[in-house]
Amino acid sequence: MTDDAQPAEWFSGLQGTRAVSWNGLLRTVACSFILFLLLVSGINLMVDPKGLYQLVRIDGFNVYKPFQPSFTREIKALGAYRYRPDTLIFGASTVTFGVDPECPTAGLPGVSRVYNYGGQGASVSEFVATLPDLRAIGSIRRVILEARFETQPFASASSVSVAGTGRPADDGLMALLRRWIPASHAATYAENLFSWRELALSIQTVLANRKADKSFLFRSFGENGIYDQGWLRRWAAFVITEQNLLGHISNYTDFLINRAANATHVDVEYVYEAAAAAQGDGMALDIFITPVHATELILFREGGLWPLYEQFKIDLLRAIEHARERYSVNIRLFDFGTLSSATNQPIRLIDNQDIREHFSDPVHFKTGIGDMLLAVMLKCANGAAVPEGFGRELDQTVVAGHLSAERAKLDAYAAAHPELVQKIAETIERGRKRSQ
Amino acid sequence: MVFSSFHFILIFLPIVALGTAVAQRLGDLPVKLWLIATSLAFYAAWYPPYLLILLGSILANYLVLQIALQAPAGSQQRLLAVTVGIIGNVCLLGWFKYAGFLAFNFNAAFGGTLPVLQIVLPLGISFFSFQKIALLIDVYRRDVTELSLLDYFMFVTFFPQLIAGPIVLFSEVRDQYKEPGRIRITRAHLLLGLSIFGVGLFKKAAGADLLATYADPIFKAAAQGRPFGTAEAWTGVLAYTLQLYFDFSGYSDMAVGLAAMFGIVLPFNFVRPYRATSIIDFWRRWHVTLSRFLRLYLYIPLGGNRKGPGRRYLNLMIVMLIGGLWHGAAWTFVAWGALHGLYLVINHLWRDGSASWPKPGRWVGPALQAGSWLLTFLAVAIAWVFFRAESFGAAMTILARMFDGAGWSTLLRMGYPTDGLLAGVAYLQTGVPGNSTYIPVVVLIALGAAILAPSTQALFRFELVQLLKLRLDVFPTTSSSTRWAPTRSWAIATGLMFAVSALAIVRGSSPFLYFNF
Repeated sequence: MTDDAQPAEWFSGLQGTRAVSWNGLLRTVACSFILFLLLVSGINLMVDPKGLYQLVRIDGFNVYKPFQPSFTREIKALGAYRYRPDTLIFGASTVTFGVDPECPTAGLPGVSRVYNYGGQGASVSEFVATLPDLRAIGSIRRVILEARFETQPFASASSVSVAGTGRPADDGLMALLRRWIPASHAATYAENLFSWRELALSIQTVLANRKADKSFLFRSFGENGIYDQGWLRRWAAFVITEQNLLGHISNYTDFLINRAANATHVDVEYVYEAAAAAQGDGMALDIFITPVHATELILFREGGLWPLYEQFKIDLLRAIEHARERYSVNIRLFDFGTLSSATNQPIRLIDNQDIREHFSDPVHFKTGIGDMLLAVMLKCANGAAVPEGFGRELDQTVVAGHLSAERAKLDAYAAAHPELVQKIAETIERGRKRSQ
Repeated sequence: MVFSSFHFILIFLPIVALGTAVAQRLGDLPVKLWLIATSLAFYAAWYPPYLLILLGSILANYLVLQIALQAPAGSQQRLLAVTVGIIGNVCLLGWFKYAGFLAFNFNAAFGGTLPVLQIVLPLGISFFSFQKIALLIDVYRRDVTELSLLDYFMFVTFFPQLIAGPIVLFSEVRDQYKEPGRIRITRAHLLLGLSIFGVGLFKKAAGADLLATYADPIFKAAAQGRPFGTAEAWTGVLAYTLQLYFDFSGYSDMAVGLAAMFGIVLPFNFVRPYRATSIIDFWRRWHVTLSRFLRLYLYIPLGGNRKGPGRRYLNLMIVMLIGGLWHGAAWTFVAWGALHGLYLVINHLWRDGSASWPKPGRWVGPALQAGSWLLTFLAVAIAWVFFRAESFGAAMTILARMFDGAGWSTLLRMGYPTDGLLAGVAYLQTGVPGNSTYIPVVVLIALGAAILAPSTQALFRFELVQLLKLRLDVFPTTSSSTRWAPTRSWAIATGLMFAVSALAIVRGSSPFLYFNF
């Protein structure tokens, strides 16, 4: 038999069936492959569980995106590209939940479109790794970078610091695609269109949207990256109670105090990397130290980390001034890790879900504080009433006095709340013993 | 560049296929040269310097083979040449694979200070070393009487089987390589090859890679001393048992499919091994080409079963210990081999002892079969724990958890845990927190598929015979009423398998497990 013979001539079992040529069979393989992929990608495109494509929006079908909070990084990378902001705020969950980037009238020139690029657990190292994609957006002129003390890379004199999480390395074809088409994020689109996991999310998204009571579903991130504030009000409009405070202290004894126990300084090399990247695109850089509740500062003090905290601010400022000179980049440092009437709300006995209070736990601030941040850094006329002592722009002429004043304020707070300080100290001690 | 990667499927394979289609118009020689060149390029893609090792080994072996072939059959000269060749291959394998292991254990046992070298293992060295050893012995036995350099290069380097087998005998491919016009791409070859490749890719991408996400956390936790329960231990062990099968049989199917695209038939390696009702039966179904090699080139030369039962059992233990060590330079692999050696000895003792027993009754027979299957499956699964675990301690931890009475009573009382080690995996896969109970269901479905689905060999056996004009007895017999045929239904099924696999590997595919060996 020759290869020109048709399949039916080869296989006796096919006699009597409709003859199909080899070419026809190969075409059938190709067509069924393509059609199935189109079906899956079509479903993913229409339902759009992560809100990446935003082509279809139907009530009762896909308006609510309950899974978005789990995929912040992917969503915000594309969201920022679509929004084309001139100002971008990068940070961890604190920024994610606490900053409404709406800045109706900014006092700073060139600031009109601000994007909230916060992601849970994001670190400064991750920011630096993400910079190439951010630069590819093309419109960014100012980046505001959160320097959260608790997630900094601590180092000792004899060791190399452990950097924060960077973006995992791309491999193979996807890396190639990202290099060729960085601005379009083609690889992200492809990974999400042609994926079983996205299909599972799509099905669950539709089912969630079919529920009669959607009041506790996450709606979606705003176009400027803001978290669903309605969801936050329903689920996270907490206030700090003594119970959740001590629970937080206990967790942070493991997460922070024990981890930083042998640290002598914070590795702030990332400042130079960020400045080098900003230089290439003519971006201005604002770095701010996260506003935390007074009890978090007490945690630092009672946990023996206050000297490290102060050294962190000093080293950060020094690195910024060096980087400013070396790269001729406009970099500013703001310290919002200060004590003021905005950061010393009383500790409640029960959670009365008062959204007017500024913190839901000792580290996570609400949008009232976020508005104050933007008012101070960007001069946004957002109506925020910034109290005396809430944050300060640092330079070498003021830093020593500033740190001394903050130390004194904290001592005064501690003296005014001896029982609270005692409970915090005891909780830390128990945590230390647990880890030994 | 693994078979299941986009680089291989979308770039390398089309280039090789197109080049073959062009070369075949010029004759057999250009086709072989093209396939050898692309196979060497495929190998070099992993780690270019080791291409020199492969080439050097091929040329040295060929030289020895020619000396052996020139010497009279049965002569001392032939024996010496073959012996030198075998020793050379064993030394090469030993150096790269076992030098560090031997040095470490020598130092531990005798307080020595030998340097423990961390040598990067050349990919596929275990497989192509065995292939070359088999050919040397075949030459000595006069099963092979002539050999061209080109055919020898094809035999060793043909890319579908270069990295992880199947372990091909020269007699299986000799006639195929010599036959004029045999090696070429045609639409029929392409359809058949793609269909077989698609089955293998589906097993790997949709089966093995998914099951790995359930097995890895358990074995990692055992290695790191983190706690886990009975349900998780069983999930991890069963998932790994199936992951290894789908991974390796998937790879083997892909190798056969790739070769079939070029008109070459390679042997299948798996015949539904988890249907085995005895360990003897298991080793006729699992990694068939390795067990064939061990039987023909180790067990039989040691005396096989010709020197009494005691010697037979000793030979079985030796063979399985070497088989275990072949898989990796670690005592856990030796333990796995020892377990299987013990299983085989017990099986042979049982079989010999029960031969004179009366036939079981109508209902007892099937019950005994079911019991035999369960016992065999459990024995194999338990042995895999040593195969996968990072240490003896970790293996014993997992086994202890599996048979922990307290763990069983908790499982029966509270059902499958929704939190724990696999909760994060479930959340990653479904986006829904607190729902990992689907995982054991997936594992059981995979087990059902492994047992009940027809083997790839059964599906394609007749068509390979028809299309590639082979003798029917090339493959071990199987019974299956499901056969692949060149119809639209099967073409659609092939397309769907490729599509499902593509959706699974879009975020990347893991290397094949047997690449580690």
